[in-house]
Order: sequence, then C-alpha cells, then structure tokens
Amino acid sequence: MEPEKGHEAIIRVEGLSKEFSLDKETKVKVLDEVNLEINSTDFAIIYGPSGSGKSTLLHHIVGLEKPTIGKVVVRGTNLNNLSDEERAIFRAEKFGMVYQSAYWAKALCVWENVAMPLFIDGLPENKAKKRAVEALEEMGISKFANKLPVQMSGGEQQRVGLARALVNNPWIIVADEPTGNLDTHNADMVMQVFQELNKQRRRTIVMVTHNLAYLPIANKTIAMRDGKVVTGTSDVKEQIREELKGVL
Amino acid sequence: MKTKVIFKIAFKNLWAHRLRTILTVLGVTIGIASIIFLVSLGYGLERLVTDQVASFDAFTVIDVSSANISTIKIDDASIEKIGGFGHIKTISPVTNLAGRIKKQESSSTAETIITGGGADYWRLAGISTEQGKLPENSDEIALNASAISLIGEDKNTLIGKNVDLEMIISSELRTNILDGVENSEPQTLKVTGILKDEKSPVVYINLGLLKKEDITKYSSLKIKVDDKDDVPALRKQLENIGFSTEYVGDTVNEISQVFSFFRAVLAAFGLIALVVAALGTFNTLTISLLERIREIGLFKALGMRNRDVYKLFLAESIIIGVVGGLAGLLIGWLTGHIINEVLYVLATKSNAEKISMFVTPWFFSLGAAVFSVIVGFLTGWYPSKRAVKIDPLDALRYE
Repeated sequence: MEPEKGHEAIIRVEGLSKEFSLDKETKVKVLDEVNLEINSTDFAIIYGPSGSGKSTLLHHIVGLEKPTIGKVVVRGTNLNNLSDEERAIFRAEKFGMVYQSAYWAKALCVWENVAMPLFIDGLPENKAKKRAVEALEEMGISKFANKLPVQMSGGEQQRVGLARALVNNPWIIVADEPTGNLDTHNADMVMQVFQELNKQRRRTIVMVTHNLAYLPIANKTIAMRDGKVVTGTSDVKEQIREELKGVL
Repeated sequence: MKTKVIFKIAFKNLWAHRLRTILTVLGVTIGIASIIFLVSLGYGLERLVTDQVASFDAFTVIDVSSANISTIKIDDASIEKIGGFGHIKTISPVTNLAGRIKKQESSSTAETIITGGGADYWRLAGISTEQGKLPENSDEIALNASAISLIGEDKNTLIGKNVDLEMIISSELRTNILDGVENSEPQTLKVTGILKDEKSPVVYINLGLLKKEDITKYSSLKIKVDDKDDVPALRKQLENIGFSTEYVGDTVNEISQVFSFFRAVLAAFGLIALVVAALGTFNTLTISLLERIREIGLFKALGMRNRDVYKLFLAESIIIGVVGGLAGLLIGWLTGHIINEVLYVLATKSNAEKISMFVTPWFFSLGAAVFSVIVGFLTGWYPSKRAVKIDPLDALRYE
C-alpha cells in the first residue's frame, strides 16, 4: 500500500549510516545511506532478512543509538542535537515500545511495570496507578494488575507490554518483532491491537517483523537488505519476500 | 522520577531477595552494634573515672593559691579585688595550719591539721559530715575519724562534748608579721560533727575562730563562677595578678585524652566488623546489578534518566545502611543498657555504689547513624556508577 497523501512526516530518516568497529582496522556497516519518511497516520512495517539492519534502524528512530552519518528527525526534532539525557526524556514522552522478549522489572507487579514510563515521567504513584489500570483494562487484563508478570502466559505478558507502551499516550508505537514469541492466536490479537491503535486512536505504528503475513495490514512497507532500504522495483521487494519465505 | 517511587522500587527489589537482604542488613547491624557497644563502654569507663575526680559542680570552681607565698598574700583585700573581675558567684577562702588537739581532762595531745573555712567552702570542697554538722560558729569544731581515734574518743558519743585545740600559727598568716611561729592559747570548742576517716587527722573549724587569733591571710580560695565557659578568662586574670590556679577540668581533660585514645582503639575493633559488613553490602549490590542488567536496559530504553538509574541503586544501599544502622544502634545501646541494669541490681544487692558501665551520648548515636548512611552510600556508589554506564541495547541482549 502506498502512504496516504496529505499527512505530515512524523519520522524522517536522512542519509543514515551506522558503522561498528570490530577492531582497529575492521569496520562493519550496518546501515548504509538509509532515507525514509513515515507519516503520522502510517502503519509501517520494516522487513528483511536477518542482519539486514531492521532493528538497528528502529533503535536509531527511538534514539537508542546515534548514527555515524545522517540524522533522524521526529516531528521536527533532530535527535542528533539532543544529549543522551534529552533523548531519554524524548523517548519516554513520545515513544511507546514493544519488544519480542518480555522485559520486566521482576520485583514489581503488573500495574507497576505498566506504570514505569509514567514513573519515569515523574508522575506520583496514585495517578500513575490509575492510568496503568486503565491501560490494563483496555487490554482486558486488569485482573492481573497485582500479579507478577512472570506468573502470566506469553500472550498475557505481551498484552501487558502493549499496555506499558500505551500508558503514556505516545505519538509513536515502535515494535520490534512483537509477535516473534507468540502463538498464532496471541500474535493475531497483538496485531489487531496495533490496527485499532492506528485506525481509531491515530497512532503511528512502526513495526519490525519477519512475518510476511502481516505485510497487508501495513500501509507502508519498508524492505531492507544489507543495511539499505530497498528502493527498487516491486520485483526486488518480491525477491526479498521469497527469500524470507525460504527462511521461515 | 519521584524519590518516593525510587525508594519504593528499591525496597521491592531488596524484598524480592529477602534472605540475601536480611543477611546483608544483619552484617551492617552487627558492625554498627559492635561500634556502639564498645565505644559506649569507653564512654562509661571514662565517666566512672571522671566522676571519681570531680562532680559536675566542680567544673565551675577554680582553686586559687599564691604563686609566691612570700610576696603575694591572699587576704580580704585580694578577695575584694578578685570579686570585681565579674562572672563570679562566690569566693570561699580556706586556711590550713597545724595544731594540737586533746580531749578535756586529758594530758595527752595529738598533732592535727586544722582546716578553717565557711559553709560555702565546705560545699564547694565537697566536705561533708558522717554525723552532725560542720562548724558554723567560732566555738564549734568537727573532727575526722582519724583525729578522734588519736585522742582516744568514741565517735558515737563525741558530738556535743568539748575538746581543746591549740593552733600553731605561722607569722605569714597574720597581719602584723612577726618572725617565727607562735602557739595560740588552747581554745575549748564544742564538737558538732564527725567526718569520714582519712589517713591524716584533720579538724575543721570556722574561719571566725582564726580571725580572733588575728589570722587574716588565707591559704587558698575556691571561686565559683557563673558558667564553666567563664573559667579560662578568669584564670588568666588571676594569673596576671600573681596567683596560681588549679582547675579540675585540666585533670578531666587529661583523663579524656587518654580515654579518647582508648575509645578509638575500641572503635577500631568495631570498625573491623563494619568493614566486613560493608564488603558484604558491596557484594550484594554488585550481584544485584549483574542480575538486573536487562532490567536496567529496559528502564533506559523506556527513557529513564541516568541520574534516576543512579538513585535507584543508591537507594538500595542507603536502605541497607539506614535499616542496618538503626538496628545496630538499637541493639548496641540495648546490650549496654541491659548490662547496666544487671550491674544496678548487683550493686543494690551488695549495697555497693551504683555504676553505669555503658554510656551512649546522643551525639555519638547520631554520629553512628550518619556513619552507617555514609557506609551505605559508599558501598552503593560503585555499583550505581556501573549501572549508569550500562548501554541499554547491550543490556537488553544480555543473557
């Protein structure tokens, strides 16, 4: 699907390259001159084979990594111009993040984990709890609020992860292989939530996935290979899809 | 992040590993309790010694004598001059001289020391009777048990009887200085009090009796000042006009110096336990850090500032320090207190003087509490710094 016209670019990636040094002489280029735009109403899926640079691109978009060359601009803010602390604050306020693995503060119960972005934002406990429980209600799992996350199933844990990503009402939901560890039923549920967030709550979704079955859900698909966004014809993209099918 | 939330998360993390946490806190508790117990023993022993040397009242009293007895005399004129220095409550003179005492209708006499003073002097010098009272008038006398036994009297029947006292008066004590020594006429005095035994025979008479014998010079003075802070300035003034001064605070200071060293040795023993506890805390926090690297990565990825990551780990070490410190304070104090109570009971049973072997001053308790927080802070500082340096992406990949 082509992006809808008339919507502003919420994420703009310009000439982004990233090199890692293995030793003094050997350097590996993980991202190579990446340029892309994601609009505020987009449901964007980034796909490509392992090692193509999908997750690294995602980390640059949320400001977890700094580019070697190029820039990432999120709604007018060039992340390169922000200090580490400022990027942390920006990330806490503007992004909701969903991971493939369940990452938890193991000593904290479900609602406290969900409320963590609000705690980080400086909200007092009572207000944070109210909003965390509301987010859990939206995900239909408020009955687990006082349990420990590790006491829940994988699907339930991913819903808690979604609640945590939504709790601070971010502009952009960023998901790195969110269905990678889920069965089909739970994976479909997660994708349904993303669709609702995109369509009804007008949230921008940027998702990295291996699962080509989800590509039709997105209105923007970004194919990657060898650290580059594949900009060629649909034939090249089709070739990548075929390669992925082979892997999967 | 709100500090309250940081401390709540820190507490939950510690509680999630409660056995490890309790053992770590116990280490700090034992360390602080050892220091409190041992140093309180040091303070208690110092108090026992200084109480033997001086009462609390003695710290506002200066003893004054002449630096050069042949040129500087202490008399009513000098008392008047000293009185003008200010910050003085009372000036109590005393005159000591030799004499002979005998019971009436007896020919045998006993050599004795005569101490002539007034009510203020008796009080300031801590002289008190075992029976009866000290002389208030010039015809009264009090004897110590040693003097009584020398004249062959019974101390239980002596009060109210008369004794004869002959004074050996040195010319230096009189207004009109004559060369040599003169013996006074024997004075018949009524016994009003008996004092505890001392090694030497001593009798106590009122200054009025010495005045009658034209003794106008005093051996020394006891000066009671308003406040012990006034002592140094007044001593300087007195020494400037030729008097020498003695102050019980000098002795107590010397004792305190010795005990300060003793306390430092005791504290060093206690400190060994605390150092071991601090290493235990450091170890616990480092293990906790390694266990929670992914969690730190998550917090950072969610946008937690470095200073909040730092505070989160520091809060854990401060909680360990505060809880361990307070428990150590309580246990150290309580152990000393229980031993004091046992000693009270034993002293009461054996009719002995009650003593407190353990004394814990409030400033020391406060110092120990602050110290335990500092230890907590120092042990948490390095793991906190390491937590801050963790790269969130590396941490999320950490297995």
